[in-house]
Formats: sequence, structure tokens, C-alpha cells
Amino acid sequence: MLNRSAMAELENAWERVQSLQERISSGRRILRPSDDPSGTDRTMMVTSDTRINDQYARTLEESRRFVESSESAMDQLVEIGIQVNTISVQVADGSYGPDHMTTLASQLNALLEEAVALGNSEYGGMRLFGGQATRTEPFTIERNDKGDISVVKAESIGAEKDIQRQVSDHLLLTINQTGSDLFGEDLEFFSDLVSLRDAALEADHDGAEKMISQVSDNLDRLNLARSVTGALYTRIDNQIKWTETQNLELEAIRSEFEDLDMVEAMMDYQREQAILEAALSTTSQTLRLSLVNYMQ
Amino acid sequence: MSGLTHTLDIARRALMAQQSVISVLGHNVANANTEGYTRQVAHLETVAPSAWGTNTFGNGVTMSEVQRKRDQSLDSELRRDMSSLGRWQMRSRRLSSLEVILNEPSDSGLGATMDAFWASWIDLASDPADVTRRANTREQSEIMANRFNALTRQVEQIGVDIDAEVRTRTDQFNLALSELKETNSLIQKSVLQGLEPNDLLDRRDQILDQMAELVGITYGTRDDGTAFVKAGSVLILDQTTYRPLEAVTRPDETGAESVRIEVKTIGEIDIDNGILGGLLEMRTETIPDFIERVDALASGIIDQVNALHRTGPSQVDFFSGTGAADMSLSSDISESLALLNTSTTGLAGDNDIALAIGGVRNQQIMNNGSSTPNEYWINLVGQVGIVNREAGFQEEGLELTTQALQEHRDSISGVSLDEEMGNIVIAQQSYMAAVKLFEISGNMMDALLAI
Repeated sequence: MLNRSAMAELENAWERVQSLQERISSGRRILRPSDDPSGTDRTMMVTSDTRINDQYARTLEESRRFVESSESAMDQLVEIGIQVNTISVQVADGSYGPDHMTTLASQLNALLEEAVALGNSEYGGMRLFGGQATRTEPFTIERNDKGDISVVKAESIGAEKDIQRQVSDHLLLTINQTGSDLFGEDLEFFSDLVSLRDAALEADHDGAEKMISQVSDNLDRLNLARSVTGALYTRIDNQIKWTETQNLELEAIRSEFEDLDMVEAMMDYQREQAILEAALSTTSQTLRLSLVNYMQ
Repeated sequence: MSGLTHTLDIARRALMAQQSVISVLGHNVANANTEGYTRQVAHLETVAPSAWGTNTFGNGVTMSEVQRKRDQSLDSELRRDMSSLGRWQMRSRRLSSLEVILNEPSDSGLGATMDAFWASWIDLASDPADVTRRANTREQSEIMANRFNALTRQVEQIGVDIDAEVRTRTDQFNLALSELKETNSLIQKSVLQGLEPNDLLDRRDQILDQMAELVGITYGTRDDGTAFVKAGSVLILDQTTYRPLEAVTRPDETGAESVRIEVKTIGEIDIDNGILGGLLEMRTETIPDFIERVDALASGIIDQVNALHRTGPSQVDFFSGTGAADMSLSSDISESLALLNTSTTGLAGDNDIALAIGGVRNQQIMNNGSSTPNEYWINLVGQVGIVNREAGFQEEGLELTTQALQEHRDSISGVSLDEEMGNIVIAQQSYMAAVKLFEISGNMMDALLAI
């Protein structure tokens, strides 16, 4: 009864010191929603967005590597296409003898085998050019009696479909090129190459002559596919940078609301601690004073 | 002769009066730290004068009564504030518990597990045939479902704790009520005998303080000093009435059982203030409301995910359960990862279902199509924060006012040692003066008798 108000004030002083201590040791201004309900709202929104952005960043990175592998395979395919182009002219040239034709034919065979292998390239267990049939070999071959490739067939189910990646809340990217994008709807690249090889073997110069423009078209198609992929790569790169920048901004906002201004908090703490000490000291002194002490 | 005996009489009365004064002061000093003690003051009055011849002579001093220094209206105001304080203290305490359970904002709260859930589907979409990713998605989904379960359980536990405390507090209240009933009858007996039962009145007031803190009672005192008490609008104590409270478990509209306060033969009474009022408010309104909203979130997610998942080759549900308490992976998915649909076609590189489920994060499936699951949860957390903050402010404000009123009451009814000691010195001087008067009158009498 005598000390009620003194005790109450002391308790208040202790509470203030404790609350500051809690904040300083956690480094956070907001420990519970009630500390700042609207600040909590912002913090949670921003943190959630950051987490999803981190996932998008992972997806983007994986997509980038997928596209990079595709690009690299296409570089090699384009090289092959250029060589086929060059050879086709030679095959059409009647001035070359049969031995030379045989050489050319075996070169074409090698290029054919390589092209099929490249068409079946994988990245991370997924076929690059098989559309949505990512676990199936997109291009299968049949051989003739001599062991050379006679037919190249495409996997039929899902091989022409888009591989899609969600790389931000509003952006869905298609990251693949399909068999028809690279080799033509009826895989003309391969069938033309087979025909060209057969023409070389038979020394069919006229037949080869007729194929030159087709072969050139096939090369054009590969070039187009490669540049599309190249552009996609750049786009993904930009998206990665944008996502990183976004995350930095989000983090800045989160920090503004959630993190404690350490300097300010330490100063407050010093002050409150001083107040508490003064309160303790004066209370203990005044409690002892009484008229009784002075009476004889 | 009559003159001298008259003076002796006056001296005698003065001695007795000052003795009584010191006695009362001593009682005060002895009880300076007694809880609930009201300072008493010996009220001195002049004795009725007598006429002698044509003159009127005063007849000295007497102690007319021992007054109890108490301000009834101050008591009343203080008790109202104590009721409110009790209520807000309970709300604040329980809401703080709720906030702790929510564990937001943090990286381990429900918000984070939901984000991990959405993210796992988007990740799965990057290679739907990958067994590791499929297993990861299943695991994240299970973690989220478990978090919903745990949250519900923990909040329900707060409800159970409240029930237990309501019972304890009701018992406390009933104990005070029966004590008040006894005190009432003792007061009545004393008053009938013409006594001033000051210490009993102190006890009465102390009990009323306790009761006001527990329940927002309305009360009054009769002329004979006995108290009558109403809880809600029901009379629970009077000269012939005695109705203790009962804490009874009843089911509410949802069928969930919770504790109510009833009075025999009357039924449930409405207690909206005091500690019990605060607890009951939490139990019957705040907690069920929160549980309902978490439930809505869980069932919204369950329904939407299942609807998308069923369009895939296995056509099974992804989640089972109807709400937050029983949400879990469906038995099909738990048993076989192969049944996890990532696309409608089932092709190894097709991911439309996976992307769609990941996209539910941004779909406005809550609040009749106006909020995304993310927004809904963040809003719910914010609401709890706001309500707790308000309770904290109310509690603080009421603490200040009750403190001020208590201090005011102390200044009137409390014992200040300095003041009492000062008064004792004064009374002692008056006593010594009376002794002197007695001595002088005695000497004068002796002188007269020696003639």
C-alpha cells in the first residue's frame, strides 16, 4: 500500500529495458505481428515474393543451361550443315571420279551419324530436341544391308510439343526447339542427306544437282533455329538479372520494416538502463524515510 | 462541590476519549500493511451540555463513533475499471499466446511452408519425370499439411487451457461468493447488536474487489451493510438469494464443446467483463473465428489442388481431408509417387498441372474470389496482430487508471505511518493535558477537604 506507485513505475522501467534487450539480441524490430501489424503485412508479402523469386531464379538457371546445351548442339549441327552443303556441290560436279565419290559418300555417312547423335543430345537426363518426350530418344534409325543409315524416324508422341518454364509470376517461356524446327516437318535434313549419300555412292551427279537448293534450305533452317535459341539465351540471361535486381529491392524493403536500427536501439537501451538505475536507487532511498525514524 | 466533581468528570472523560483515540490510531499503525484495511478515525464530539442556574456548562468530550474512511463511489469506479482490466489482461495474454503459435513473420511459419509448397511444384515443372523432384514435392506438401494440422491443434489447445482456467476462476469466484455470504450474515448480526463491524466491512469490500476483478459484477450495499451482487443481469447474492456459478461444458453451433457459465435453474448467463468475461470471449468468439479462417484456407487449397490434380492420368486426389485439422496427403500419393500427376498428358516433359498448381499461389481462390491464399494468410496474421495490439493498449490504459484510482483510494483509506504517528503525538499531548487536569482537580479537591 505504501509503495504501490513506486513499484508500478519500476515495473514499467524494467519492461521497457527488457523489450529493448529482446529486440537488440534478435536484431529485429518486429518480433510479433502486434509490434507493427502493417509492417508485418509488408514484411511477409516481401519475404514470400523473395522465396518464389529464389525458385524462379533456380528455374531460370536450369533453363539457361538447357538452352546453352541446345545452342552448342546446334552450333555443331550448323557446322555439319555447312559441310553437307559444300559436299553436295562436289557430288553434283561431274568432274570428280568414282573414288572421290566414295570418299564423299563416307564423309556424308559420318556427318549423318553425327547429326543423328546430336539430334538425340541430352542435358540433365532430358532430351533437348524431343519436345515433351524428354525421356525418349527423339530420332531412331534404320540401317541397310551395308550398315549405313537408311531412314531416320522421329518419335511421334509429344515430340513436337513445347517445353515450358515458369520464370516469373507472369512469364512462361518455351525453351526448346523440336525436330521439325531443326530438320523440317518430314525430317528433310536427314532424308536429303541420305539421298545425297546414295547419289554419291551411285555417282548420280544430276540427282545431286537437283538437291543442292534443298540442302541449302536445310542449312538455312538450322541457322534460323540456332539464332532463335541464341535470342532465347539472351532473354533468359536478362530475366536472371531482372530477378536478381528484384530480390535486392525486396530485401531492402523487408529490412526497412523488419530490421532494427541498431544504433538507435543501443542509444535507447542506454537511456532506459540509466533511467532504471536512477529509479531503483531513488526508490530504495525514499522507502526508508519515515517520521518514525525521527521520533524520540 | 458539583463544580469540582464536574471538572473531575470532564478530566475523566477526556482521559478515556484520548485513550480511545490512541487505541484507534494504534490499530491503524498495526494494520498499516494489512491488505484491504481501511483507516479508522475516532470521532470525538462534545458531550451534551447541562444547565446550572442561568449558565450552560459543557460536559467535556466523548468518542461518538469509530469512522471508517471509505469512499463508496470511488470503490465503485475502481471496481468497474478492475473488471475491464481483468478482461483485457486475459485477452492480451491469450492473444499473445496465439501470436507465439502463429510464429510469423518467420522462415518457419505457415507462410514459409506454403511458399515452399508452391515452389516445389514450380521446381518439379522443370523436370517432371525426375524422381527426386517428385519425392521433394510430395515431402513439401506433407510438411505443409502437417503445419496446418499442428496450427489447428495448438490453437485448440489454447481453447482447452482456457476451459481449465475458466473452471478454476469460477471456483475462485464461488469461494469469494460464499465468503461474502458468511460475511454478510456476520455483519447483519453485528449491526442488530448495535455494533460497528468495521473489520467485517473491510472484509466485505476486499471480497467485492476480488469478485469485480473476476466477473463484471454489479453490486450494492443495503443499509445494514450487507452486500447484494448481480452477475450478468442475474441476482446471485442477497439476503435470501445464493446462486453460485457453474462452469459447464456445452457444444456450440459447430458442435465443438466449450465451457459456459450457468446458474442453477436459470441457465447460461452472459459474462462480458472481468477475467472470466475476457476468457469466455476468447473461447467462444476469438478462437473459433480464427480456427474457422485457417480451416477455410486449408480447404480452399485442398479443393483447388485436387481439382487440378484430378485432370492428370491417375485421376486421383492429391490431398485428403476437409480442412486444416485433417489435411494430409491422399493415401494414393503417399503410397505411390507414380500416381503424382504433373501433366494432363502424362508426357515426361509436359508440366501443365505442375505449373498450374504452383500458380495457385497467385490465384484468387479465397474470400469469394478476391484474395490469393498468400494474401489471405498474411491478412489473417495482420488481424491477430491488430487485435493483440489493441488489447495491449487497453490493458496499459486501464493499468494506469486503476493505478491512479488505487492511489486515490490509498490516500483516503490507507494508513500513512507519518500521519498516524503525528496524530499519536498529538493525542499523547492531549492525554497528558487531561492527566494534568485530573491532577489539578484532585489537588483542589484535597485542599477543599482539608478545611
